[in-house]
Amino acid sequence: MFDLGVLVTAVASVLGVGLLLGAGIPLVYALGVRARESERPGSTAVGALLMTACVLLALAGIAVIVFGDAIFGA
Amino acid sequence: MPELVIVVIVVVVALAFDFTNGFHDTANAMAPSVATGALKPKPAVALSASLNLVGAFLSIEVARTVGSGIVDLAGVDGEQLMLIVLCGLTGAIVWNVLTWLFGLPSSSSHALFGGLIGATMAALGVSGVLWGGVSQKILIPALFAPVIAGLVAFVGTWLVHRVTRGIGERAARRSFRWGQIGAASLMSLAHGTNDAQKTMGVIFLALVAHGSLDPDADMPLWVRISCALAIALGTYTGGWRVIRTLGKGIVDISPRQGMSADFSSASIILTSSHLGLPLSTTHVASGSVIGSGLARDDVKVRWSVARRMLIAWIITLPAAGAVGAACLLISGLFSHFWGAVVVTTILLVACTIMWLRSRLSPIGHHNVTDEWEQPKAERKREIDRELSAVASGVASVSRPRKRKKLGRGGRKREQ
Repeated sequence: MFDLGVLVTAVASVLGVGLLLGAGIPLVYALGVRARESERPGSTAVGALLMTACVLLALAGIAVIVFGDAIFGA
Repeated sequence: MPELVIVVIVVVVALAFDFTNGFHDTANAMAPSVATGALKPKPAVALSASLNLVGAFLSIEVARTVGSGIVDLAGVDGEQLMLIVLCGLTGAIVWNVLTWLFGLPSSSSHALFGGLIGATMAALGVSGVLWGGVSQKILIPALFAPVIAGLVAFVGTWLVHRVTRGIGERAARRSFRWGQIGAASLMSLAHGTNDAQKTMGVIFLALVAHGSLDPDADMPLWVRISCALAIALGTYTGGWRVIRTLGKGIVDISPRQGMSADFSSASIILTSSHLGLPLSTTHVASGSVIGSGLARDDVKVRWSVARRMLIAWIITLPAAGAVGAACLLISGLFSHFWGAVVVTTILLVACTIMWLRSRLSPIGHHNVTDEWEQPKAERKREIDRELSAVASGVASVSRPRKRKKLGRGGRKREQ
């Protein structure tokens, strides 16, 4: 049975999460790269921190998407 | 006994489809990394295969969707149902191998659904297809998937370029290499969570038709393991033709673009897997590559290649459906058992012919990253070589005739 509401919700969710993680993680990574290439004091540490945040974000994204039902309930 | 043989044939052909799905879709995850040189071709497919294997165990939401809501098979007897599934799989495999031969990144999911729909229509008529489900689960997502992926990749690439515009190309290449490897790995994992499930759903359907499983049963472990291994093996084999088109053909991708495209694809596919939306990973990956190409003014998107790809996308569903329907009509000339044997033989012959044809212009890990468009001088030399080869067939150019010198008074002088 065709259910437009379900479809619209699914497409909106995919777009929302896509923008948040799909565009957000590359942005954080790029900020990390810029910090690492910069010659300001402490920028290397900031770069490493941002790149670690990237890895954690990706892992958190996988965990929520794959185990979301188990963690938050269906 | 014949019923058992048919179910074994269906399971083997389903795993063969899973294998073709793997090698056809390796490109979706690894084409940008291979194209930019972030990963060498062989390690890239090995990494992708391992992560597809892991991904196949992470979720079964899509498997549940595939088994229901597309075709109405209630009231169909077991053997007939298995034959429909077999013919559907045959249509999907033939289309997958054909598009691989032409290096076109077309959707394995659409080929599978198209094959199943075609075989069902041939067996039960138009009423056998649940058109509402087809619109909701296949057609509308097919329209949205590349657009959403393109939009996300466009935004991601644009932001990354804004932030890192002061960084030199060499430093960017070095820094983004690891980001790109991470994104491609995530994409491979996402592919495993989505595409391996589709074959699991089909095998589940066949086992229910055979009576080995209850429709409400859990997915058997052996089905999950065998599907995971089949898709991983297919991925490791590497569909180099499609990798070349996606990595080099559409756009000359940079490490920044590759990373953004892969993160965009991975996030969209993982979310759709979670929601049970069987999105085509090929549509998502291709949309991302085009979106990341459009985000830069200095990079040319080759619309002629994109147009060929779009045509392949549009005809995938009807073409696979036509093959599935034709197989079902052919199998109808025999008993169910012999029908299954004949369809499998047709499949083997068709795939062998296409594989032999592919040997005439081999593309492998050695030449997958060659430039898409040759430099003008080289192209001119190649055309000259081809022309002289053609000419040598008419009049030998290796032994040119000696010119006779003219003597005084215009008389020919003897040599």
